[in-house]
Amino acid sequence: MTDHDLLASIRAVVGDEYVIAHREDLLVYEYDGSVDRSMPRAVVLPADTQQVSRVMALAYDAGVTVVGRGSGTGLSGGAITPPEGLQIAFPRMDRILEVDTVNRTALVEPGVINLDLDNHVRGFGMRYAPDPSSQRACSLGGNIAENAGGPHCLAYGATTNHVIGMEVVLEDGEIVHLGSMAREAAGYDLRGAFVGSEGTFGIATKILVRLLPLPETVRTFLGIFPDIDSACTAVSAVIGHGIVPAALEMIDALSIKAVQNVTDAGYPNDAGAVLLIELEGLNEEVDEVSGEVEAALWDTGAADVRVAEDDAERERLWVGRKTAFGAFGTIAPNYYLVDGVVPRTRLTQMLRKVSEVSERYGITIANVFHAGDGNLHPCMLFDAREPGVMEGAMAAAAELMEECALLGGTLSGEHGIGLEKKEFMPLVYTDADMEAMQRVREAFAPENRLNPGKIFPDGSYWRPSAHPAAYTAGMYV
Amino acid sequence: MPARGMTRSGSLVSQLVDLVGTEAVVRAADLPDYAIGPLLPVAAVKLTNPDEVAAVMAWAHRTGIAVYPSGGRTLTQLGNTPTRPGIALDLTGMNRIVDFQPADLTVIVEAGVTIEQLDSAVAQDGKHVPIAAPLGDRATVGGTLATGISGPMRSAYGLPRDWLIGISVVGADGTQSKAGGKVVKNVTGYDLNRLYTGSLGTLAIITEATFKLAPAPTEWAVIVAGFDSIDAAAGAAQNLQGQHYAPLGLHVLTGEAAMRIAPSVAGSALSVAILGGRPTSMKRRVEDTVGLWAQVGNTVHVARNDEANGLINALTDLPAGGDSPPRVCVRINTQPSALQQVLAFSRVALGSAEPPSVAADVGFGGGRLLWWGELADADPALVAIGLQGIQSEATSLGGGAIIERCPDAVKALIDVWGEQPSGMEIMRRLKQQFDSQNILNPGRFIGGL
Repeated sequence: MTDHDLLASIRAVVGDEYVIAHREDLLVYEYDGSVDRSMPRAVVLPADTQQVSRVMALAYDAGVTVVGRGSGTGLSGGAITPPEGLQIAFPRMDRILEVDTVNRTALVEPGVINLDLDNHVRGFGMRYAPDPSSQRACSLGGNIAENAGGPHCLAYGATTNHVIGMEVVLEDGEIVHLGSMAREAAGYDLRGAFVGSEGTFGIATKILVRLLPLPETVRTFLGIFPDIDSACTAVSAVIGHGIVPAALEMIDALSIKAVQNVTDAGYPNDAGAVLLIELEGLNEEVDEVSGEVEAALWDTGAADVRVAEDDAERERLWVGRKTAFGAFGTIAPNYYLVDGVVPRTRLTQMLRKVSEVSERYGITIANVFHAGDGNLHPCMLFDAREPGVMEGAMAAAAELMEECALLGGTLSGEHGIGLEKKEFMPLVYTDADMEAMQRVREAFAPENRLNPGKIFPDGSYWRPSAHPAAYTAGMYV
Repeated sequence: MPARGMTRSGSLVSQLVDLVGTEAVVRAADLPDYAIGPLLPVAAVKLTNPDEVAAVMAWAHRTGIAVYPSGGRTLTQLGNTPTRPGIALDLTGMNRIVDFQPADLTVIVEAGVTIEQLDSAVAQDGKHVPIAAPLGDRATVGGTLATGISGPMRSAYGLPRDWLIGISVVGADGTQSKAGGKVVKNVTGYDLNRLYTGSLGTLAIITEATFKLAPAPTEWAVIVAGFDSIDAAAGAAQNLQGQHYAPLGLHVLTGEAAMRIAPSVAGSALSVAILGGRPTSMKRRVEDTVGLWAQVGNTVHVARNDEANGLINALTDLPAGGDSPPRVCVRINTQPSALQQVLAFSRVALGSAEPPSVAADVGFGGGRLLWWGELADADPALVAIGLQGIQSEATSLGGGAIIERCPDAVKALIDVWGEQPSGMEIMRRLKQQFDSQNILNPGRFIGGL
């Protein structure tokens, strides 16, 4: 089948206007939230599962690679499509099909935006717990692919803990159901294996998610610290006290400055670091634990501890946290966000390494991250038009990855491996470990037609052709 | 295949002695301990480290002999009848707590560590890994993960897979590998933790597991209320489920299951709520639950701390426990909204046997059907048809039913895992990828995998 024939056949399935193949129209699909970019041969926008299945079958028969795309907020290059590949995106499959208040579930299509789902189900007294910072834009399908996290994963777990079942389309167009309507199903946990498989196993077309009841009380604290070391000590003190808050976030001085440049989140400009801590539960339990958290913060050198007085103030504190990455634009034209995890007690050590790497490479690094579960996000701020700076940032990121591995941590807590980190995989996994993983991919996608060349080191795969000169101001998150 | 010629256990034993030493080879007289249903292993070895496991697996892979991994042997009834003889691999000798980091909220243990041993190791610091298995003093971590079994607080705490953050395994060919790590948040590579959990040892042998921990409640209570009808018990339980102080576990028990849990609480059905928390919140949790149930129930009994823990253990042990385990036990997986249909199974006849007790898990959905009575005179074919009817019914409710325990003669006629799911072909390919010789627990898993 020629290229023309394939696209004509696909147009016949989804309609002419839903196949994008003109160069200028494809520009927005050549990148995601990562540093890489590559223009797909075409982008297909199916309307339903049957169309996804038929498009996949056509691509399969033509020997063409398929890459699924959510909202393009991914940070590891997961949605970057090789030039010969077809991208499937889901703006037309964005319906919340059902909200079940008895079973506390929602059935959604992959294009539903994370925050839209959460806002919708709050009307029923429930919530969807995983809340990535990009939740205003990112889609449930993308969340499944990356096993997305977010601040409240500390208490409630990542996406995988909230997915009960899925309808997925395999590489050859076959439609299968993973998991079931019940929280437990017989056989291998294909659902569990699928979540976080970065689009290499199949494309989810319907997703049954678990919802949680809204807590009786929510209380949000801002712990203000003179420096990042004392804030780290406070994190250990809280966790060590046997308290696992709903969220426990760290925002360093540079990030505070960036945030306050764009919005008044209520973070003090002169703080060395702030901790954003949220407690949830029954009134009396939250009251009691609040006292313990406050004591732990004061004991570890807090300059001040503030409590959000109302929902508006809580919202303001969170807006600061969730817009931090956008706010970095006020400090430098580009940023590159590294995702790494260390055991919680190694945070101080890891942040010292970050600071040392920052000095040595002459790259400004801001830190705003999920301190409670040891998930760091060192964020390098620079101007990519300066010669050599991009290479420097990449080398610095490599050192940070190595340090995470050395401290008993890992390469990614919530952004995925994708293209970005695949060559670092040997830092944490042996060949045998990765072979076992590849066997699972062989079982789901024997022809390896879905998002190939991601996750595993190969050295030989295509590398997107972007050159630093081509970078425009923006986020390389 | 060379395995065909190797049926003489004498030569097998000498090969095993060469591999792992005389000490590790179990005496012939003790082999019946390792029986799986009607199948007696031709030999058994008790191993103490992953290198030994790897050596035995590499040898088994070469010779094609089947291998049956074995933990506390509390749930050997689970699964279809093995398709061929083989050797038992006893992992209970691998029982070290490898690394406990209370400040990081992580613990690494060997597969042979018992659930009780794990509990007490982390309890000193006020932590727990909220996984549970029947007969926790014998049930091992490896077995709990392999079976994916869970306890009466699964609605709040989830399943074993939700607490596992890292795993070490020995593959069917003897290759050692690991997945995950020792951090609580990790998307580095595929999630094999979840794949191995619940795979009944058919993909690889689990040798070590890393769990995340949670702070344990400092106070426990179990509220038991008796009701005049099953419907009344169900209504009371569902009413509680909607409250902010909803319990960690919520169950409705009928018949003998109710009698075994709380013989002194009168009524034809029980509602049971497991509550845990800090003393400050426990006051309201207990008072409000009692208040809610006292209006509609006969007697409401509040058990605290030691008595509460005893009741939690008794609930955990129902499907396999004690001196008189049920003769037939069926695990129903359905959504919580199917509670009425689950309770209606209490009227199902199985051959000539009495209808079952039902232990419905109101919070999680589904539950268990338990037959303690004699099935001796029941025609296995009729029992099998009855069980398959239950499986179809549960499937039509959007879930399924797993026959956890039944007589061998019945088991021979059914797939205990139920109807083959939509992903069966992927499951077959997985098995082929991980165990191309089909030596790990052959035939015991779904669809004969």
